[in-house]
Amino acid sequence: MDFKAKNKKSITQFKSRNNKKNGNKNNNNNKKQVKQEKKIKEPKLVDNDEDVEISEDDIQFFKEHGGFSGFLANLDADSLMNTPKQEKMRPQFSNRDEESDSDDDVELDDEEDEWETKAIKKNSNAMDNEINRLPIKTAEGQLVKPKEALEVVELNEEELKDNPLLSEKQKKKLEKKNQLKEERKKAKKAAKQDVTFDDEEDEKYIQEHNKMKVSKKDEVEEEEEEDPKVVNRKKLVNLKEELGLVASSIIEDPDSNINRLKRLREIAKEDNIAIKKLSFLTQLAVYKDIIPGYRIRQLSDSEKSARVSKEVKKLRQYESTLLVNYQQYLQSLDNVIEGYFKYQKLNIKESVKKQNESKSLLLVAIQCLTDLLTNVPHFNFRINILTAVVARMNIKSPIEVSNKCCKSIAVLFTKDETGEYSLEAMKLISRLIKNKNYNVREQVLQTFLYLRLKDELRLPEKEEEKVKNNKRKRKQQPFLTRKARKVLKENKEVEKEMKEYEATIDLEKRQKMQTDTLNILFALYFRMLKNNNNNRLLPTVLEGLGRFAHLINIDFFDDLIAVLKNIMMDQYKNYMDNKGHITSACTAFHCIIAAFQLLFKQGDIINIDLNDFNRSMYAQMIRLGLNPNVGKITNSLLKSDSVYRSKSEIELVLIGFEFLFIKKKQLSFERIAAFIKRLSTIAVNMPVNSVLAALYMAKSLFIKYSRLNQLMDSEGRVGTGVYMGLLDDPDLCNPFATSLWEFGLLMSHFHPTVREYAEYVGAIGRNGSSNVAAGPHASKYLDYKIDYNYFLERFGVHKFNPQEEFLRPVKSIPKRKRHQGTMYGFNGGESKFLKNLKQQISA
Amino acid sequence: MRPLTEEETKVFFQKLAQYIGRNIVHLINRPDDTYCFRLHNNRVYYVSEKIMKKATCIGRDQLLSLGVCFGKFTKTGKFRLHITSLDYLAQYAKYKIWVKPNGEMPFMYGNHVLKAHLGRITEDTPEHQGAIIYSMNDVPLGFGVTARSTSDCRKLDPTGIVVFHQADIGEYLRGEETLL
Repeated sequence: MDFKAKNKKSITQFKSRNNKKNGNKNNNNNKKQVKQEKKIKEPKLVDNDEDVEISEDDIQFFKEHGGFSGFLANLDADSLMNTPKQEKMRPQFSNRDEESDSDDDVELDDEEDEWETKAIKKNSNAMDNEINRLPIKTAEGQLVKPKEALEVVELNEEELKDNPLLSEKQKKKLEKKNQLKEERKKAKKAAKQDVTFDDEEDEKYIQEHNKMKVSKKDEVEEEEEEDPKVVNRKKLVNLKEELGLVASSIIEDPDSNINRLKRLREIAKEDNIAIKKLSFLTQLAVYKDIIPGYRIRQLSDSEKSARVSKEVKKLRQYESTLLVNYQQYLQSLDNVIEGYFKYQKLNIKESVKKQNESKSLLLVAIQCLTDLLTNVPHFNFRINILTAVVARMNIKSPIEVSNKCCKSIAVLFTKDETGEYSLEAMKLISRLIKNKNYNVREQVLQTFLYLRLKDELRLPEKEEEKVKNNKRKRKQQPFLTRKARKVLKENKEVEKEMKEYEATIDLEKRQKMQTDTLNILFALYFRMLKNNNNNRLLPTVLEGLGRFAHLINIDFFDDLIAVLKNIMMDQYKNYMDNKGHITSACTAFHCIIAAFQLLFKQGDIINIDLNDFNRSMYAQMIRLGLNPNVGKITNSLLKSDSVYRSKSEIELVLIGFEFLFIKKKQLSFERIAAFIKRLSTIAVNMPVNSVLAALYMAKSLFIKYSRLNQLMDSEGRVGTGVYMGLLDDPDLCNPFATSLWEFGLLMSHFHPTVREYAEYVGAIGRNGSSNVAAGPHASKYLDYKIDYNYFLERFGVHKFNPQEEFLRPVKSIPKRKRHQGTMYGFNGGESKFLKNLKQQISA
Repeated sequence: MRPLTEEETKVFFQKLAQYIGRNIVHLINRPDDTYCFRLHNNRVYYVSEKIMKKATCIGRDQLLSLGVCFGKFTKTGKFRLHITSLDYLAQYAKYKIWVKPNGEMPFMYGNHVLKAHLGRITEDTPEHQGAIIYSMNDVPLGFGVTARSTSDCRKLDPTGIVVFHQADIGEYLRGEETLL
């Protein structure tokens, strides 16, 4: 269809709308005019209407035009003003994802259409800058003057004002494009080879015509309504209904209704924030549903030219339409996000309501991107989504954005079967961290804990061992006749083939991916350790290091342990000199545990006694007694799982205890005794949950090392000399010269559970084993599910209610409730004293 | 019986520091009692002040021994630690080496500790440093001088020597007559 012809038609069409809008005064006249216009179809009629300026005419015309002609569908304020950005964005989107380059024809055409609309609109803008908010034509053909336009629009307008040259350039471009397009269309009509495209166009025209009819009907109805608010509301409801209808129709039968995706996108271009959000979310749901389980591949030229059956053709068309729509959907999301942050940079003041609205829109856009990332990572444009999400992991201002991004990355890591997504994400994240000069939010690093490297990645050394074993086996194999060997060989081949079919994931490929991921991860970790200027992130880094410790090459061991020791010592020195933040010994404990973990997982080759680390742990434990937040439970990124959440200090100490005494047999009794003595010393001062956890650890030590019952002996001292409680060396403090008198104190603790448990543990300590019935409460605490984590979480709330707080056998660990602001007090915080005080004051 | 001269103290403490480092302080500044080192018949004894004062009543020729013998000065003026000092060395040891059960007997017959017998070793042990040898039950067996550092031990072959023998508790039987 010729462009000019279309113009004429739509100008008249537009006129009718226009009149309706301005025409509360002269409704009837307008109606007549409309009829006239339709009959005559002459652009000249424009002059009749004096109320409207020409420029607005133009704008509205194209708005109108965009409303019902399919190929101008992309016209909206946003995309229009964003032209310079989109210019950049477009190649970005298509270049990065090589395979996903959609069909050239389709894309180019779409591009051209956008160009036209944008350029024309710009033109009009240049003519009249005052009019910046256009009335919108809704699906029902009703015109609404938007009260709040998107900030993005304003922003870009300012940009436009700054460089008027741009629009001129684009005019030129537009002309060129127009020529090109006409030529192409002529060629197409002549050749009629690109069937898919023609089909699409036809459908569009059918839709257009339908819409035109509908809109005409609507006009007549709605002219009677006068209250704009009611109109607005009705429009909203209608749009919502349409969203639902279109979405459900697509989901019901995606094959035939795929083209209606475009309609969804159009609705998203409404200026109403609520509708925008809804349509984004609707599109999200639709795409999540209809996206196939494979990646759509770009057709090669030979494939395109080759003859294919009708079905294949149909499928290809379907795929390309889906791809184009999906790409544009992603772009619109990206535009929203980019626009928001660009606008933030400009620091323009505006009303709170507007800010909230744009923020909520941003959050919805982020939500959509992250959802797509976690749900359909196999599909095209993954890298683009990933870049968009990763780039926002470290955003500070709306904190929800980075939280959502980090969470989605963590989910991606846990869901990743092939290792491919993790590798891509890691590359991007490591670049991000480097760019930020290793100064990022803690959560960015926490996502690494979810990498599926821990169990799945096997060391190549083990494979070598296997080969060696095979060699040995071969020698041991019994003699076989030639025939038997042949049969065996054939069987093996068959088995191998069977395996190939069975294995869905290529293990070798995955291993390679994971090795690469690991390399990036460790490079990042080591660099952060060496930099060491960022104490804030050290605990997270060390936690990750400990988690993947078994994968670190043994050659790095010495260096790594030296670095850990340095950090630990520095930290302790700072503490002794009263420098830095003194309250937390977290970093030191993390160093210690990382070292233990390194040694535990790879220490088979040589058994090393980490003296310095032991001593440092012993020395720093005394600080815990002074820290009221020692047992504070923090939430993990994804689940309420003790494996992933960042650990409290007492937890770290207890993990250290496990490594030192439980997982390996400790040789020196003096050392064990010294540690348990110090643990019980600090236990007297700790909050309830930490005391219970410490008691649990004491219990397991008593059971494992029965000689410790010497410490529970109240009759006489076993050792000679004097116990030196303040000496920071477990080997020299001579613990057997004292006894664990702290248990006596704990048995009269204010908390009933602590009382009972201390009694129970004390009985075990005296007997040296748990076999003997230990006290009246033994049955209650025998549950194997009870460990220190249980205590830490169950009693983690700083609230004490004697009626509630006794231990019941619980099937699963209950979810923690956060009571912030309540102090240690009876019955939910308010003490008698406070009540009395209030009464007195009121009296 | 007399206190050690400056020269003697220096030699003695240098030797002792090889094994227990700065923990010598803990030998002298004890919270329970005052202890001191006394020289008698070229041997150095670690003795509490109370006993030392009582021992002054006994003549030099008649006094055989007092307190715990730490070792003796050789004719060339060097100091040699005796196995009798093991209890104190073990308590304040800086570097420890645990020997597997199959390595206990060879060591107690006066042999060096081999890599194959090495059960466990303190991290960062340097080369040529005094170290206390323990059994896997944490019973001190003797002491020696390390032949390799901890990191070198890792690469050593099983027959390589890890610790050079200095003294072991087998000497209580083997050198019964010379111990005093």
